[in-house]
Amino acid sequence: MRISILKVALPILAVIGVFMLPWTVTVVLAALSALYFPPTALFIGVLAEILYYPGTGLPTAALTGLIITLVALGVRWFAKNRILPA
Amino acid sequence: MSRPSFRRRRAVRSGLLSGSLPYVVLGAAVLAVFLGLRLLAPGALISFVSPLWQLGTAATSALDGGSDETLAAENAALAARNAELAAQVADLTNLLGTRTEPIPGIVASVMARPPVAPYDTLAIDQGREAGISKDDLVSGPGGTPIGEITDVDQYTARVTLYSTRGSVQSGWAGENRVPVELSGLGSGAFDATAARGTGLVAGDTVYLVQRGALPIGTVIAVDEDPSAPKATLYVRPYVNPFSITWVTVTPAP
Repeated sequence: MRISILKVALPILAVIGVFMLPWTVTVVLAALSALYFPPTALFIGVLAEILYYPGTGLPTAALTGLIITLVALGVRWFAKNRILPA
Repeated sequence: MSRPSFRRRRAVRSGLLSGSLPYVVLGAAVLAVFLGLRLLAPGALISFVSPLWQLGTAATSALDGGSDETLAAENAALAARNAELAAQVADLTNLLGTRTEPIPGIVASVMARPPVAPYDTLAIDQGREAGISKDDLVSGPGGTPIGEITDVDQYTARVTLYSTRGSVQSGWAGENRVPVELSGLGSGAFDATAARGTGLVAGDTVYLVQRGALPIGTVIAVDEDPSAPKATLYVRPYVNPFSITWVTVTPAP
């Protein structure tokens, strides 16, 4: 039950964080929510780019989101196949 | 009795994102709407999200507000300082007259700033309606230049700070106005490069070349590598973008 609440609350908090919380907190929230649903981190990163990208330089927020998403997918794949292979 | 099977089980019963397709599509649709707004009507996007930013600013202010006693003491100190400055202005007016024309400016409140924004950008609550247009100059308290307008809508605008990583500006440093190249480091910080042996030291003022020489910060350290033709200056800006609450926008020259 608690995990279900977290599954819903973490992505919502991460989205709110893009608008209201320091970006470091938002990264942590996005990483945690990505463990339940990996594309969340990419979504948050791209949303941050759309809102704040200044027009020059590397889109670091989207790249960070992509990396977190890939790592989360890897963790989930590892957990499903090697730790919980039922 | 059934014989044990050593056949390899299917590793993945279903895809890692099975059953999540509707959420992925929904997320992509939301991003597409936001991206479309950013590309086609950047100001409209700011208008759309500004209530959330204002809510965040209000919440931060409420948390950082402090007690009534602290605010009263701060108010008294500011009133005293205000009286002192008013006396100084009166003295200078008597001395110089009132020939100086005030620079027209539009005061705007800051809705979003670092560290909420991962880049050095600000969202402000004045736009085209107030006379702001793209490339207008933005200054902080004390008239310190901090950036330029990069997106503008009817009621809001986005400011890109000079300290944005990758931004390069021309400047001067020290009493002799040594030319330097100011590079943004993010989070309001700069470094600058100047020719070696120019005599720049920590404590020198750094100016931005903009309507004359406008001070933006002080040198806190000078790094001179004997094998390098240029010296690196580390600059502490006068305006902290993390706590800026209002800015003044002036038309581009």
